[in-house]
Amino acid sequence: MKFFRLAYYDVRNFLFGEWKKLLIIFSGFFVICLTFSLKEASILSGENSVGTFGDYWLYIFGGFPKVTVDSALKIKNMKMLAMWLVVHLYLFYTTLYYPFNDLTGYGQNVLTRSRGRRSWWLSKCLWNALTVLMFFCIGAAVVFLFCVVTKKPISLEISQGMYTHVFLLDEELASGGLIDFDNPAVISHPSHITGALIGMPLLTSVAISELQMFLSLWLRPMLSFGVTVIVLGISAYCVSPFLIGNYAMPIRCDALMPNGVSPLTGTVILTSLIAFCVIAGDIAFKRYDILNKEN
Amino acid sequence: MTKIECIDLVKDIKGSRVIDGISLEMTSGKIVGFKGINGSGKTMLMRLLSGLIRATEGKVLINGKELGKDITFPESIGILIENPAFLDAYSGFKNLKMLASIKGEADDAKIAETLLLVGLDPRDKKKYRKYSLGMKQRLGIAAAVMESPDIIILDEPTNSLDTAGVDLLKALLQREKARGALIVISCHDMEILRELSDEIYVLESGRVSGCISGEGGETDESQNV
Repeated sequence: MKFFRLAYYDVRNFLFGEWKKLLIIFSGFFVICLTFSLKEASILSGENSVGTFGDYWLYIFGGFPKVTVDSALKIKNMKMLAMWLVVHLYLFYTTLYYPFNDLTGYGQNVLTRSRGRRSWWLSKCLWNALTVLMFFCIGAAVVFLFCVVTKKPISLEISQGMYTHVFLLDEELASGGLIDFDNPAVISHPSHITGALIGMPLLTSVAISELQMFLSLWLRPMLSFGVTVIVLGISAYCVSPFLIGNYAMPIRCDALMPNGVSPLTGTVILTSLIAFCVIAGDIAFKRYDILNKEN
Repeated sequence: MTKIECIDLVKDIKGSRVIDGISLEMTSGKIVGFKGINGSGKTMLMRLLSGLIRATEGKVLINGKELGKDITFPESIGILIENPAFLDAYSGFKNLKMLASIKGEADDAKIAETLLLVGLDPRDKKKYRKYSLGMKQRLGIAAAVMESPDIIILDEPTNSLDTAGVDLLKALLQREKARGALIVISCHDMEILRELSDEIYVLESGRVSGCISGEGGETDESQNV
C-alpha cells in the first residue's frame, strides 16, 4: 500500500512539478514531425508521397544503419545521429535529476514517513519506467495528431521509400540489404519488426534510465548522464549486441540489416539489466547514506 | 514512552570521522539541545538519529529497536534537517497535504491548525517558490510536527526566523513537549537553547564534550565521553 502511495506521489509530483519538461517533449516531437512532413515528398518519392504513422515513427525512433567517419573526417549520417541522440538524451535528462533531488530534499520527509527504503527505491524505479512510457506516449500522441490533422494513414505500415531512404544512407547496405524491396508483403506487413519498432526503443530507454538512476547512487547525476552519452555515442559507431544503444535503433534489427542485432537477445539483455538495477539498487540503497547535495 | 539510546556511535564520511564515539540517552517529554560550532557533528548526529545515514560503528536504539537493523526509520518521527525543502509549484498547505497523504495520519483540519501554529495562513495560495526564507522555515517546522510524532528532530529551527517566529517556535515546542514528544534540537543561539532545553549536549569534533542543564545552566564535565 505504501509503495503505491509513493508511486502515486512520484507521478503526481513529476506531472505537476515538471510539466514544462513535458511541454518541451511535446514541442520537440511536433518540430520533428513538421520537419519530416516538409521532407516527405522527396523521401517517399516514387510512391504517392504520403507518409504513414509508421513512417513518422521510424523517422523519429528508427535510428540509422551506421555512423562512419570517412578519410576527410566527415561524419556520415550526422543529421540522423544528432536527431536520434537529442531525442534520447533529452529523455534521459528528463529522468536524471528527479530521484536525486527528491532524495536530497523533500524526499527525506517522504522517506521517513514511508518507514522503509525499499518502497522508496521501487517507487522511483517504477516512476522511471512510467516517465519513459509517458515520453513515448507523448511521441505517439503527437504523431497521431499530426497524421489526423494532415489526413495521413494511421498505420504502422512503413513505406518502401522510407526504408530505401534509411538504407540508402549506407552505401554498403543499399547494395546488399536484406530487405527485398520488390516484395510488397515484407514492406506492407513488417510484423517481424513491429515489436522492434515500438518495443525495443521503449525497453532500451527504460533500461538506460534505470541504469542512470542506479549509477547516481555513487556518481553525481551529471556523471551518470555522461555514462549514458558514452553508451549511446559508442553504440552509434559500433553495431554490437553488447552495446545496448543499438537496441534503441530498430533499423539495426537483424531482420532488416545484415549483422544487425537480434531483438530477442536485446530483450534478454535489457530485461536482465533492468532487473539488475532494481535488485542491486535496492540492496545498495539499504545502506546508502542520505546526505544533502553539498555532501 | 519513547527512548533513544546512542551507544558508542561512530560515523566516517569519505575517510573523515564526523561522529566519534557518542553515547547518550534521551527520553520522551524532554527537549534535548545540541550545541557546537559548524562541523562539530550536530547535523550528522541528527541524520543518524533519524535513520538517514548508518553508523560506521556503534548503534542507535529507538525503544530498544536498532536503527538500520530492526527498523529502517523511527516509527514516528518528524524532521527538519538543514534547509527546508518542498515542492516549488505547490502552496504550503498543498505541500503538507501531499506529505500527509503518505501516512494518512493528518487530515486537512490538522494541517490547517499546524500552519496557524507556525504563523502561516492555511488559505494562502502563494506557491512555495515565492515564500520568504522565514516562511519556508516555518513550513519546515510545520511539516515536522503536523502528525504529532513521538520524536521531533529540528536542526537549527530558528534559522531565518524573526522574533515573532522564534516566540511561536518556543510555544509550539513547549506544547509538543507537554504532549510527551521527545524533541531534539540544535541551535547556534545559546540563549534560546538554554530557555527551551531540559539538557544541552555540547559537541566538539564529533564528540560530546559536556552536558549543560537547561534550567540551571551548570556545566557537568563529568559527562564527557
